[in-house]
Amino acid sequence: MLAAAAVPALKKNAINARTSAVMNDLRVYSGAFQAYAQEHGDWPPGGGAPGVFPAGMEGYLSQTNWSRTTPIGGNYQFATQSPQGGGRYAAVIIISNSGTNLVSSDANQLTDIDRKLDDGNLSAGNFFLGYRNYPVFVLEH
Amino acid sequence: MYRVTTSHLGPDGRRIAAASENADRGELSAQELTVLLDAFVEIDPVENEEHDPHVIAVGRGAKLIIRTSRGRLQVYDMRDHAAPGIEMNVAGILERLDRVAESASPFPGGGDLPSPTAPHRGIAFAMLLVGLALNGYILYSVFYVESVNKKPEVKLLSDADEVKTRETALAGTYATGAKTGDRVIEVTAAGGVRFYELGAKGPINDSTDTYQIGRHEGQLCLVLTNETGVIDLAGDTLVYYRDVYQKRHPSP
Repeated sequence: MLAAAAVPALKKNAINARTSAVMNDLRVYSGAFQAYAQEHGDWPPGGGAPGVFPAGMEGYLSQTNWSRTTPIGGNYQFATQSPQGGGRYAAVIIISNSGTNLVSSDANQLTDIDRKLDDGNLSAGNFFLGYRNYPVFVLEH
Repeated sequence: MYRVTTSHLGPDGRRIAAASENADRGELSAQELTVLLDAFVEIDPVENEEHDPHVIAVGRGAKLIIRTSRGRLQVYDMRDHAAPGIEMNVAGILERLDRVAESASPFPGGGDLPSPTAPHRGIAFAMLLVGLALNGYILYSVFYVESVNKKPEVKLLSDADEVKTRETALAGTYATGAKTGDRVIEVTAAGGVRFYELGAKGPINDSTDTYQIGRHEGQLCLVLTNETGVIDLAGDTLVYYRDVYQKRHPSP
């Protein structure tokens, strides 16, 4: 019984750990894209598939880190002029399914990220669920 | 054999011996103890009241204090001070002294009571059930994952003619735009659907699915087989995850 009672705490710890890892990734990546935009006056070109290193980001991003599976599954994807949730966003980082590499659909996990990164509302703000409920992090509206 | 001690009792057991506060009579046989108790029960009631003579008998199964009152023997269990004294005859006393591994109480009704362990077993069983239920609930709550992808309630169209007509009318290519980053949905009249995104070097995030036509919240929609979302139909447009896809009309 004690072991079973400890399981929720372990689960919560796992959620916290994944949230921290995703937040860290998004902070690092958004910093890199913003650095690129400041130096070049525009965002790098989008249109790359999930996990594919964004063109022009050499020297700003670690290719290995970008291409690996995210802490919540799926791969990172950088997109510009991206239609999401009824709006169009100048630059976003999406966490997308990539083949059999699927993004978590765990509402608790995604809400935890949103609460710590944004406003806790998965339908609004700078972190929300867009196309196919993939998590979207807005770099520029 | 019974270990017997008497208090304020003469050697024959029939008279008081005020000076003999405690006398160890050693090991007595059942017959000797019977003689002693038969004599003890006839003791003078006045003297009995005054000096409280009694016999302590220890057998394999019990340690008893035996007093007498009005020609009857009153027996008290020395291992259970809370138990009241009960009236017993000599045969009953002997039987009680010899009884081993039975209820410690020689008193009426004791044998009818449930075993002292019975309620404990019940409590343990109840605790076990509560524990199992709690474990089950915890494990369920741990392994249950509330998904953001929920199948909406949809009622499929059942009229084959209507389905055919709508599929034919639906067939075509729908898109959010024509620039890199825009998404496209291609619908076929045969019930197939393809999704892709306009990438820098061609389609990306390409996937296919099948659909059926139904109604969701009163509105016509495409119900996908693999994906959880539905594509709402609104005239010449599709709405998928709140993004609007305009139908592309072939150039004249």
